[in-house]
Amino acid sequence: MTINPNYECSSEGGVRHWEIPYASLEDATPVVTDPAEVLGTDGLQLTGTVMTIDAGLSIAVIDFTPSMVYRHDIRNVLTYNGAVENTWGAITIGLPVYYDNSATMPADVHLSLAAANNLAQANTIFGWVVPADENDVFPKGVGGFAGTYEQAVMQHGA
Amino acid sequence: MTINPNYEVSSEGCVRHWEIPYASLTHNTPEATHVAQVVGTVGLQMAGTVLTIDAGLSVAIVDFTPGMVYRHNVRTVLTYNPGVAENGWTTVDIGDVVYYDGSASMPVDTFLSLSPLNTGGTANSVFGWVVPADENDTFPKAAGVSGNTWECAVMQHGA
Repeated sequence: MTINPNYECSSEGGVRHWEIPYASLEDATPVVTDPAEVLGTDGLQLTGTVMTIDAGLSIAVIDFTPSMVYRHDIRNVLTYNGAVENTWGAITIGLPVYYDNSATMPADVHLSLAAANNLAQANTIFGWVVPADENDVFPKGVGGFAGTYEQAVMQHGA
Repeated sequence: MTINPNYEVSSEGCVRHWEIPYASLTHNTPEATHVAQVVGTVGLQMAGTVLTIDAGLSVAIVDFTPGMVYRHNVRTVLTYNPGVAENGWTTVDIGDVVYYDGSASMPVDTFLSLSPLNTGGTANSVFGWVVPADENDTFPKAAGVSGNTWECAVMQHGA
């Protein structure tokens, strides 16, 4: 085994919490702890996790920090056909997770495994599946069967 | 020179170290200080740098912090003759995109290259970008007649 003795060159990272008006969010009724997506170009949208909201000012404070890990609900849908869910996959470590605004998504669920929504528009990558801890069991769900699972996700952020 | 007195509007930061089972890594015999890639969707895989390993539990602690800079070996291969061998090479320069390349033709302990496709013709995932390690780092680094492997500072994409 070769260990490089001088491999680390930089100092450490950064967090980013930012206020976004409700009107600029894909889901304009943000809920604390839920994923959020800012309106923009399909497939390239800014996403993060809602930290808090100011209902008076209609502003959400969102954590856009890259690599933060939060537990979110994930729908295991992979593809749509005719605007409805068509195929489903098992959830495993390392899979990309997308913000999916499909009307077919269950209430309070905003993430899925589908690269395109039920209208065939590109979904944006929200992050990747990671183990929540050493007792987290994979795979979750079975290919071919629909389900929604609470899962640790390392978010892509900004 | 005009210095903006209030240019910084946000607070500072965090790092992200995470345990990944060996079985979920593309190269499932990870070594500290080396690069690691998590098995996933081709071309969209998450990657980072191994900080330490727990051989007993078969778990690696991987640094997925975006923007971290580590020295890694980078192969100058740019293209492959698919399924056969390296075909084209190029110089390494500041800002070049670096990919996690799992090609069997890669030298021992080398996992990064300049090639967006591996020797099998499948997409490599972006690992990061070449940056100068310090003010004495010289560029470009030679491609080599039949390829070179350079220890380069790479700013990782992370998660």
